[in-house]
Amino acid sequence: MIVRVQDVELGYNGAAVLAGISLEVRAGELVALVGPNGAGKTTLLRAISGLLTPRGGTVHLDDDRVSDLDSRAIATRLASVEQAIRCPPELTVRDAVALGRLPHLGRFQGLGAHDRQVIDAALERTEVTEFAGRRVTTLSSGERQRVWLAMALAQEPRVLLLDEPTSHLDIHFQVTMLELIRSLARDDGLAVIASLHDLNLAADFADRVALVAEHQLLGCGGPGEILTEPLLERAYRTPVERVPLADGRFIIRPRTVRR
Amino acid sequence: MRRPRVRTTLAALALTLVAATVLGVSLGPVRIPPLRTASIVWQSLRSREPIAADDTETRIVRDVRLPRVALAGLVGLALAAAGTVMQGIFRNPLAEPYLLGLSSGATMGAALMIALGIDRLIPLALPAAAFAGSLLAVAIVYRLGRSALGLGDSATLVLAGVALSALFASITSFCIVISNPDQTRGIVFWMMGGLAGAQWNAVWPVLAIVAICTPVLLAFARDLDALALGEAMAAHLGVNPAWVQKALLVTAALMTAACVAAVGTIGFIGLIVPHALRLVVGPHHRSLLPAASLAGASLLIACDTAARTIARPAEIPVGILTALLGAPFFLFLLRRSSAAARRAWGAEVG
Repeated sequence: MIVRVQDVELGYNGAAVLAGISLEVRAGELVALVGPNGAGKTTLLRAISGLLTPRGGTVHLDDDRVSDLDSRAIATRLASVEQAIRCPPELTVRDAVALGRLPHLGRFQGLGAHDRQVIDAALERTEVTEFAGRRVTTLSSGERQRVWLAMALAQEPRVLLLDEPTSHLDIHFQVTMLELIRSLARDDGLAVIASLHDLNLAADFADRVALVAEHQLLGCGGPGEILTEPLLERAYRTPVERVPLADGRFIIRPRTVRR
Repeated sequence: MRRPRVRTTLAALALTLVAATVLGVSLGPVRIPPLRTASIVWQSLRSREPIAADDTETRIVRDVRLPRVALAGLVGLALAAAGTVMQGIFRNPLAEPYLLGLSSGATMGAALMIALGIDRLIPLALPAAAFAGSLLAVAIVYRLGRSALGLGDSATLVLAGVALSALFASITSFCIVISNPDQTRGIVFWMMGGLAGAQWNAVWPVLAIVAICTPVLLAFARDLDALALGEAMAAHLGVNPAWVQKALLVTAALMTAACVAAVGTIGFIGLIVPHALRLVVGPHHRSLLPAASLAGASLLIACDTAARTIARPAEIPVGILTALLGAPFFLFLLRRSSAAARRAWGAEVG
């Protein structure tokens, strides 16, 4: 499945947040959405998932325009994980993941054998099977994040949108999370768009990087091509340096002055 | 996803309801043994033969106690279901038809109709105005509640409900002041309500509303589960949050208005019952709604039976008993939820 964003303009009330955004994400690809705080990464993700209707331009999933699909039809093809998810204290991991089946079920329909299989597979894929019976609120934030990802997988989507999947995670969970996300793209063939704050993680894991700033898409391409000093300094309004590593990769760091 | 525990609980609650019904019909100034009661009820269901002139027991059961118990059960069911749904929508442990002003809105609507003399001109004006009053209350609370949701503060919503109740109560009082003695009696009778002297003709409208509304609530049960994760996540799961919230609140308002129209204001049933059952069957509304409905019915039947037997020959209005149980429980929840809100502040960010 291909996600095609064409010349999209987005805004709240009077102010435009983003304009002229065009982006294509194919199956099997992980695209990292980066940019400064408040640049509109969440807004763009919500427009792709159909939560916000663009003022101009179109978003397509294959040949279907997202604004023409009803929300259940979208939810069976595209799954989104928001950054802050409320969690009722009594909710168990398995029940949380089971909510991912909601778009596939009729109003009075219970879970069937196929639904249970999908739930089990999602728990397995995200390695939270051992927590299945526990309450979500008793888990660490790294484990909890995997539960929400499992819920998204239970929707059996072809497209996965993740808003800051690694925020508040320690480096161990950051890496395991991104390895899992990359494998969902490469091995399971999902089209994945994830907003990330950490530019170095984006460089290491993403196939392509989309840089959003100044109400527009400053660029979209391979990490080496987008994460350059001039583009980043323009986007973040902060001096940065790109330090090359021996293996051809690089590290981005702010050019700070040690006092 | 119904676990054995949920099935067992539902079965136990259904049995409790049968037991509460039989006991409620048996107990009273004339004690009728439970088995005799059950057989009379069974006979009445099977045949519509007129009662023999000397058969006082059958007369008491069929014409006096059974309608009263049936009404108590239906009202308890409706209030508990409405409370469950409101707690789910507002994600607020303190939401309940009485505390959020739905009941006093309904009373105000009815009082206005009586004071203006409209109820004598138009047949269904009274219940319709009651429904309009509770809809008005729920609409105001919904608007306020949506802006308060972001604060993670459950007390704000209840404060709004308290202020609304005070406003509606003062309008109701004003209606009494401007009414003639006849109308005043009508309003006061309506406000006192209660289950005393309940007849079958009071049961049918409530039964009809419950029969229509309960399936609507159940149809949206899973959407409520999704809403618990926040409106954005619910939308990602294919739920239309605003539509679900409005449909369910209108349904809850209709059920509340039907209860107030039949028996006056009875508080706290919608608060206690969902909480207690959530601890047993978990947060899933597909299990919680039926469980809370069954338990609400049993609880109000039990309260009413107690209200008319413990201070015999006097009868305590059942609302006093439910408040006696509910108000301390409310204070306990208020204390617990404000502590939880403080913790949640940290938890949501970290």
